[in-house]
Amino acid sequence: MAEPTRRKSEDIPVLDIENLAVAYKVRGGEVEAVQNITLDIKKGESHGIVGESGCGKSTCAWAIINFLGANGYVKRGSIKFQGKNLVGKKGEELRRLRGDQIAMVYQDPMQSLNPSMLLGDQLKEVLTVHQGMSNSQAEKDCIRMLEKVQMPDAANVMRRFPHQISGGQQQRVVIAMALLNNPALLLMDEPTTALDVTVEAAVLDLIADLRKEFNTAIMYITHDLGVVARVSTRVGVMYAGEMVERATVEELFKSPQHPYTQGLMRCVPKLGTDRSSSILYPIPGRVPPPDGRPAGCVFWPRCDYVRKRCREERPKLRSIAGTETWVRCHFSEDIDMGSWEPPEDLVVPGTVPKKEVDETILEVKGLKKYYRVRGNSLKDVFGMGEKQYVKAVEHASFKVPRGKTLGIVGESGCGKSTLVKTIIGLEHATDGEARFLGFDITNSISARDRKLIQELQMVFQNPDSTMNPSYTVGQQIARPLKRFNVMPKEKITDEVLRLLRSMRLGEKYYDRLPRQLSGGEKQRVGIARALASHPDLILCDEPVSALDVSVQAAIINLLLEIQEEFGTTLIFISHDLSVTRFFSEYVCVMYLGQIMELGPAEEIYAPPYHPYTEALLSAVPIPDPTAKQKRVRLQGVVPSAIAPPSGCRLNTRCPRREMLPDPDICLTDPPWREVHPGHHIYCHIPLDELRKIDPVVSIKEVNHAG
Amino acid sequence: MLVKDYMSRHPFMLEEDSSIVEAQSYMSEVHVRHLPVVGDGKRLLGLITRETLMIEPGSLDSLNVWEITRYLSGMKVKKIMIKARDVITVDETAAIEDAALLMIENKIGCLPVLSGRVVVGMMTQEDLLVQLCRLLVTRRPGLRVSVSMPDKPGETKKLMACVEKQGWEIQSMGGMPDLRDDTRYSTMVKIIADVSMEDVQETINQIEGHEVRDIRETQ
Repeated sequence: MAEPTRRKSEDIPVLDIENLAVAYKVRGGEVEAVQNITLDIKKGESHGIVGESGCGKSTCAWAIINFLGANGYVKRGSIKFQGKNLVGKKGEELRRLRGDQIAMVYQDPMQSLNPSMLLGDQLKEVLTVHQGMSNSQAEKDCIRMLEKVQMPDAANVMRRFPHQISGGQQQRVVIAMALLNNPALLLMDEPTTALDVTVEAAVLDLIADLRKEFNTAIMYITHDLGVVARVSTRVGVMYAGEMVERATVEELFKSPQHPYTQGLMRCVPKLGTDRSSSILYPIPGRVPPPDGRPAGCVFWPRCDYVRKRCREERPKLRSIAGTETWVRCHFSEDIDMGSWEPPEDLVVPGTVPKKEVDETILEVKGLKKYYRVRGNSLKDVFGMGEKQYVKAVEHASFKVPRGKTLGIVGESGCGKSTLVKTIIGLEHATDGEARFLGFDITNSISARDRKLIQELQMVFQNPDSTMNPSYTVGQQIARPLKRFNVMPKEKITDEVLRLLRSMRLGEKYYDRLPRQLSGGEKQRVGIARALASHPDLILCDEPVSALDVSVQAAIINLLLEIQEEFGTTLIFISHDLSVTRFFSEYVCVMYLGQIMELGPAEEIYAPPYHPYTEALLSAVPIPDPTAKQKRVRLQGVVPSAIAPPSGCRLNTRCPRREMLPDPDICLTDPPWREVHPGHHIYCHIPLDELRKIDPVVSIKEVNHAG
Repeated sequence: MLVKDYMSRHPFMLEEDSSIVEAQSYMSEVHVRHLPVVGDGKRLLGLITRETLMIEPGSLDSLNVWEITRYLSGMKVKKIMIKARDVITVDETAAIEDAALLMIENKIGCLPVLSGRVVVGMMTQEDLLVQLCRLLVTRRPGLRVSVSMPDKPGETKKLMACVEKQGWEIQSMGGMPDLRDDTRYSTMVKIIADVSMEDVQETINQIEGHEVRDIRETQ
């Protein structure tokens, strides 16, 4: 006899959305933000929804719980939860459903937590208010749930305020809160996007475990293909308010059917592939706004395979014979991803090996940056207390050769931004040496020679906050040209236009204001401005983190192109290890202000690893469900930088500490072990031991780029 | 093997203010015969079954179709449901055999599973039958052997020792007293091994007092 057949009632999905369209009333009519969405999620299943920003992913989730705001409504279609239609349900009934059976977790945990209430009280409220449970029983249940989400020291956390725990822990509290009522459906909207990779990895593991334990149906919204590959069983790809493809996660990554999905796969760097094969191909154009969607297929203006029919007839979501895949494309059977050729006008940078130069452009030796913190005792007020410092950067030493890229990676709070700010002069170095082209740059920027400032420029993470909103693009870029007298006044306009062209923005952008630009375009202007003074060194602080994947690929390619053309040296800060690998020749791994490993990129990503690098690598979500990744997780939280652990700063969390015969040795400063000239590991564990560790990632090579 | 591991989680539920017409159509739509009625926080308020939905024609004032329609459409679930205090329930930490006993003793087809007063799942006869199948028959093909042995301590041990000596793998087993002969005990063993049925039969029959009553291959 085979496995007992499944019962009919078990086949009814927890969530069944059919032909959903959501519209927002705006001045002069209405906008259909989401159209023709069909999906179903069964018990214990995790359904991923991916797409770039503005594709309607969140709107979809909000429609389920009728969270659309005063001007939004479900225009067509049905949303069935446990077989009951939710569309048109009245407030009270929906409120009860939201409280008892549907739970939500959003991107920013601080927005779901009340900052003025103890975490314990917030958690208990769920049980005492909804279930009428007694306070003491609720307390017990909450602690048990916090333990389930692997919160260290759960009983104590109950008596803390949200700001007293870290971001990852806050998100755990929110997840615990969502699960307290044992919901049948959990909506997660980018729950790990704001977290560090290491924390993200732990939260994703947690979600996978909880799904099995509670048999909850999960709708997981994210822009990150790597995350989807790790948590979902099935995936829906959204583009411009429509679902363009639905498939099981294995099918989707093995043979994506829709040209948009294929494009997405080509523009994310994959950890594990070597650098030369991991060229990124951005998708040309951008997502159309909801009121400007083209007739016919929504994707045709950006599609490489567009034909006449695509422009005229809107394709239906149809099932591909013999698979569980649904796709919204007329010609998906004719499209072979393997034979895709990049368009001819696309310049692929990074393929030409760079010339070897010996000239060191930047040399940093023993650089330190401490911030004084004032205590709040009476002694401190009178300046008699013990002086306390945040040791943001400690003993940083490295060299950057001309024309090369140094990537700096690490968790947030590891001092990577401080290091860069100290180099550029926004912060005054506490101690140590930093020489740029032979000049001392430990002083602050106001004391620097203008010529020196000109040679050192910076690109920031958030282009919005670094641009004057009332200056036009042309003025923004012209400003450094004028300040540094790079060229005579009458030539400035020409130069700005040239820069705009080289950023592929075109002259029509000259008179635009920042608010008229998309995120990717703003970042291009930011880069153009940094380039305007012809600097020798550009410091990029997470230049692509805030951007969508397809835009991210374009910006990275642009930076590489600039580097090839001008021979500019780059320092590239990123928390994304796969981007860094693709981008940099040298990588520097930092933890709690200390450089842990430093060396050529290829060597950093292969054994011997520093234990911290190993943990970082094993946390990176890989957009390939077949990739095998070791599970090395850091325990606990990042210690305070005011009183960092003595000796090796990782010693409180090191996953490899037991490899040493005497683990107490980690309380002393580790030696700089040299693997090869230029590759150093700051660890007590002998290199021979580290070499024995298996590589973190192994991927069966499937080359989508053709 | 506790109720919480084998119940259906996240059961379909009703609110007490739903109309019985809605309840009836919901029941047939989701293919279940029992629906717990819950209030705030999924607290159990009552239970609706197929039987409770059968309205006695005698309770109607008139048999006029319009009267009936009006009567039914105004009727709420809370009026006809079995009230929570009369509903037989089981705690999620109970053993599944206790749940089965409860159902047999009370001649009922389902048990709402509670944690405190909150409904966390449903356990139906069907669920138990599914588990019985899983208990006795697992997915891998093998030999299903029914052995009759004296109802004495140490007999099962003999059988185990015999199977182990042969190097066969036991996938599942279950036993109960022989219903016709109270001195004997029937045991069902599922063996996975690369042997013929005859060999198994012969080997087990050699144990003193043991007799293979039935042997067959399962898929």
